[in-house]
Amino acid sequence: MNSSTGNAPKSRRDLAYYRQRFRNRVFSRLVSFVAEQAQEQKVTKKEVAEKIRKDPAQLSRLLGSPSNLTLDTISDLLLAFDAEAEPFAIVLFKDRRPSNQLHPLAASVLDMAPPSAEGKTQSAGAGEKIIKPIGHGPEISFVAGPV
Amino acid sequence: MSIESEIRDRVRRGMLFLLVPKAAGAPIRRVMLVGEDLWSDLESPEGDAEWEERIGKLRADLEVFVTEEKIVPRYLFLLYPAGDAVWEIRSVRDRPSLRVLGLFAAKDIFVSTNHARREDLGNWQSREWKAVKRLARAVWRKLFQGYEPIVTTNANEVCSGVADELFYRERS
Repeated sequence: MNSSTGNAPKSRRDLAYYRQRFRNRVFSRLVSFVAEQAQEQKVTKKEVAEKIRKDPAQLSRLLGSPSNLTLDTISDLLLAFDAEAEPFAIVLFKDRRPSNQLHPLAASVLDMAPPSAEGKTQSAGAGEKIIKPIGHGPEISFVAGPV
Repeated sequence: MSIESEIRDRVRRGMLFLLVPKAAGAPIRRVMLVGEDLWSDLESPEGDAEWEERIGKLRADLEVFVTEEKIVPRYLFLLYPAGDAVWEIRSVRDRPSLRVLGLFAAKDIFVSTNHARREDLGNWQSREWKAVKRLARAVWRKLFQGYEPIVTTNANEVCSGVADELFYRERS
């Protein structure tokens, strides 16, 4: 299935997909940052929770699911590590560089001929080169440093 | 024949489908293969607003396994008993909360076998939970008779990039 492009109204499914994808990517980046910095700065959950004026259980909930994060809580969590988010990069689909990450099994499946027509079709799947020459923009960057 | 060859064969025969990120340019760090039932939901024709919302979000949640560098601890769960090797991916944003079950053919290769709504499953010892786990094993056997999935309690052995410890723990 291709990205939604063109002038047609965006489908509800696409809207829902991209919203959730955005949430998931921000969450993943945040969790990576927290995990890395907590180990490096030797900061415990209790210490982080205290810094943002929450209890550890609340902090666990915040970091348990993308749906629990708000812009405010993201900012608070970063501040606990003396960090903030840089304004994130916005990229047009047409300007995206192709990703250089392609699992070997996925590559071999995508190189296969389409399945025989037995009523089972695979859109965005076998036989197509899915990694089209559109880029993969930079991730949201978090900057650590003195406040 | 390797499990990878078997997988290619099942894809060729339309029994499994490779989940390719919908967003152009997204990486494919890990492989998720989806069974026919779930695939037909993901590719279903347009439904009502609630269905569209749910399917869009489910797809984005499944693609986390495929695209993200880090996998958070609560994304992927090993179901009891560990020896059955059935794992669960949760899509919980909206009601109904969904559970996608599957097994690992190899590290970073997840075969989704079945899915269910959380509200239909009851507590973890319920008959319904046991049924979906049994179904996961049955679908695996149907797909890969003679091949065992990875059996382990350590998520790092089935999936790269698992963030198992978020915070520093003081050791006494």
